[in-house]
Amino acid sequence: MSLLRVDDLSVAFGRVRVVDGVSFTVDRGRTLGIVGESGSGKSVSTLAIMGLLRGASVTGSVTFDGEELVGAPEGRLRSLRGARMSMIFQDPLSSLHPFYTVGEQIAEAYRLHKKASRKAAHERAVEMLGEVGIPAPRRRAREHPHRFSGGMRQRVMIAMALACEPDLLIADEPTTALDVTVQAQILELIQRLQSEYGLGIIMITHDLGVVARIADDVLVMYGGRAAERAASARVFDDPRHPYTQGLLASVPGLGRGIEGSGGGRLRAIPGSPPSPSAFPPGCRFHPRCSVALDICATEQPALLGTVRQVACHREGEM
Amino acid sequence: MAGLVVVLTLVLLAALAPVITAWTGWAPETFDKTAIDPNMGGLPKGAWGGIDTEHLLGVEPVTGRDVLSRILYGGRISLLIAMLATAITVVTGLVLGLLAGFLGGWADTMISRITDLLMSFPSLIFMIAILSVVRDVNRIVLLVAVLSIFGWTVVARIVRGQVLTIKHREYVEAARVGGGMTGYILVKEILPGLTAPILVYATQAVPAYVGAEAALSFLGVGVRPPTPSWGQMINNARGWFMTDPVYLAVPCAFLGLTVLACTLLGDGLRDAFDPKAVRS
Amino acid sequence: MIVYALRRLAAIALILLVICAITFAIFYLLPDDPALDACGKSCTTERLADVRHAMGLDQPVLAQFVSYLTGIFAGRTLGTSGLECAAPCFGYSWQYASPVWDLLLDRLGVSASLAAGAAVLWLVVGVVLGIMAALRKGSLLDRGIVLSALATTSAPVYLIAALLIYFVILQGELLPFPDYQPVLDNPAAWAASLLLPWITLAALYAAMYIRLTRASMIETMAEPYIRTARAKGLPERTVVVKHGLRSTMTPILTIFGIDLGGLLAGAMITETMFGLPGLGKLTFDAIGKSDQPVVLGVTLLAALFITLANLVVDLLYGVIDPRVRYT
Ligand SMILES: Nc1ncnc2c1ncn2[C@@H]1O[C@H](COP(=O)(O)OP(=O)(O)O)[C@@H](O)[C@H]1O
Ligand code: SF4
Ligand SMILES: [Mg+2]
Repeated sequence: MSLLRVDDLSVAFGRVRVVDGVSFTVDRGRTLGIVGESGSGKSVSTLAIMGLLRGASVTGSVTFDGEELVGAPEGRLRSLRGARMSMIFQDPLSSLHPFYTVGEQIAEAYRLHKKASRKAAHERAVEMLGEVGIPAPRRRAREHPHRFSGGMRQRVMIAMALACEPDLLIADEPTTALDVTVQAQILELIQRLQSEYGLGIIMITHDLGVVARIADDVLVMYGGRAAERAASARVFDDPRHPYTQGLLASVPGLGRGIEGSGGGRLRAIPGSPPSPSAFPPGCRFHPRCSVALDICATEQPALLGTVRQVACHREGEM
Repeated sequence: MAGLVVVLTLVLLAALAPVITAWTGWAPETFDKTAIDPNMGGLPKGAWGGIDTEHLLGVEPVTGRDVLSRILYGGRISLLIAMLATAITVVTGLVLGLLAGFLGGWADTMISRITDLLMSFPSLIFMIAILSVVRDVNRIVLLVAVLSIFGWTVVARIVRGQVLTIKHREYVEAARVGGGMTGYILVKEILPGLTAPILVYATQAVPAYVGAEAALSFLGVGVRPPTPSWGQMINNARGWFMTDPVYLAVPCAFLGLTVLACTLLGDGLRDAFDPKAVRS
Repeated sequence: MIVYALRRLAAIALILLVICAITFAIFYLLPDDPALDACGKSCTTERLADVRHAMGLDQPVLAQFVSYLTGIFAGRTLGTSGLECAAPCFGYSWQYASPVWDLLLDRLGVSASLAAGAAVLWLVVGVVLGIMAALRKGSLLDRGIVLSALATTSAPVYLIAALLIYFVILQGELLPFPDYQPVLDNPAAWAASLLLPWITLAALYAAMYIRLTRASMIETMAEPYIRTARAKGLPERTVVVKHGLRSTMTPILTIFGIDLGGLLAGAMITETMFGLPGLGKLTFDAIGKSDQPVVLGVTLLAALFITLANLVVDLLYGVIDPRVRYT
């Protein structure tokens, strides 16, 4: 049984449906990478899993360790959040409370979920800070977030997320705001902790390099829908969806499966992603697609396939 | 939107005061002894402060002067003072803010020291003190001057911030392109960005000044009789409100309506200029 | 932090000195002659000169200013009248035949009572309603609160005071007309005499604080760290109270300090409307009678309160927000 199974998940704010029928699974010890340009619905999908969207209508099914979460009582979700599934965010500075010490913020969830004493929770916070590689953890636990560097803050976020030893970690662009070298360190840390704790991970990013590095499976999202879903190696060696191909062609050294991209010339996908209030009919990618057919403007392509799934009218001929 | 309509209506009413009073037939200084009851200590005849078809908003106790007419003419004074004071604070703030931002150095220091000083000043007491000591000066000019002393610092701070931001950006840009930095570019870049905050400031300043004029006139140091202003009417009505509450309520209502409408207008403008605020 | 506080105090002293000089200059330069009022109705030229001499008004302005300043710290003898004015001497009111300082002290209790009581009321009402509105943003409750706050901020203080007096005292006969009693003499009478003035002042400020708190709370609750708190599984109450409220209150605190500082030196209109013998009423009366030493004294006292309140707020800020560094 998968740790997390998401089936036909849709999210709407009012009449605007920003996520439309997305499905995927995450297993223990495995990493799912979700990629797509900004605004494609990556964050909204995962916030819906965590039950953190307010004022949105969420439909479909989210099964966590066999338990249905869509429509579950808020109290139940609360007891899972921070305890069995955790989330870290893009901007660690604004995601940490400026007025409380990092020790206090890490200890908070531990005290709540493990019914631990203040003292035991503080010890746990110090231990976790050490675990994520922060030097002098006992001293630093008593400092406030603004005293930490960007990378150190993200380590604090990770310590906070993992303090209760959850089964699932959702990382929403955890390295986007960081320098390249720091990015690599954080990814390394996440991988180490994954093998240590047997974590299932959802890694959201618009950086294919990150996915190539740590994901086992990849979900490519465009305009709130799944464009392509397959094992990571397949996606990178042989991308099928024109959008995936476009993404790969715009990253140096990744587009192994695409002709013409070996020469090092980078081609960004022309145009910009659509806004949810004005998704184009048919295939949402068709206004930007260089190989679009007439049917693409009217008929929505279904996500087809078994080991790899692709939502494109030209799948099979390319 | 409702705010804008009400504000425009009030301004129009004040502007058309002579026309309207010519039509009703009651000038602000015309006594109407028939509308008051000498046996009742000069109270208006009839309930509701003497409101009837002749005097739409009632009459003043003792004199029988038409309240509507006095409200309209009073509104001219109150709104005129508020708008002049707003205009002066905006211009002063703009000039000093630009100076502080562009020149930097000692000019900037000077201006921010003055700002600190003004913010520590008990402004109401100070205004009253000046207004009570200065005698033979046009009250309206004096009121505008005194009200303007304290307001400009807000505008100056906004302008200075804007100048510094753009100056920095232009400087970086200029350094990159290798060209020089011209005041023309700065002004062209800076002024458009200032429209929104200054307009919003003005919609808050006008009602604040209308209120301040009323407070000063209420305290007896503002506009002097026989010139009517809303604050001065409130001051007159203070002694009567136990026997003729309508006489107090009418100018209060106009004062309140002005503040309310301007606040609504200001909120609307802020939302219009700040798309983020609208969506949330 | 102590160094910072000391430096700020020095700056405050400088500001007060400048304010003192400016106010002094205005009174001196303007054609209003306090001796004329002190001299009385049947004033002759010789008597006026005597009075001026006795009041020290025939001295050069700088000399007067210096003797005023020394008086504050060391006390002084007033003019040639032989009147002793002990330190801190803020001049002498010929109107009240009393040193200004004694008058200020005498009236401060009333104004402080008025300000403190009203502040408690408006802070509680404003913050609670503001938070309720923010948490149920867009609901009927929110709209109701926002609308009544808007209506109240637009209502002139005279109207609120007049309505209260008219309905509670005159028509309802629920309370007697305010007759101020010091709190230590008779706490019940003290509260009864201040109840309506408290409500009047608090209504105005509460409406403003509702708007402020609501805006600040809405902004805070949209912060990413609030989402983090929810992601930890904290109950909503903890999220709001522990993570939301502290940030919400920081901007409110600044404004509260400034408002309270300004009010300590008297709420002129409210005190006048209710006939409360506070600093505001004292100022109002003094201005009407050209009692300039009193006006000067109140101005300085008010400036002192405002600047000190600012300092206290800035120091408190550092306690609340660990990012604040005193430089
Ligand atoms: N609270 C909200 N209300 C309305 N629309 C939202 C809200 N949150 C996100 N959206 C919209 O949903 C779309 C997907 O957003 P998101 O999931 O954040 O994209 P990303 O893939 O960059 O993480 C965006 O177009 C965004 O504007
Ligand atoms: S369905 Fe058509 S438009 Fe969409 S990606 Fe495939 S070819 Fe392009
Ligand atoms: Mg996102």
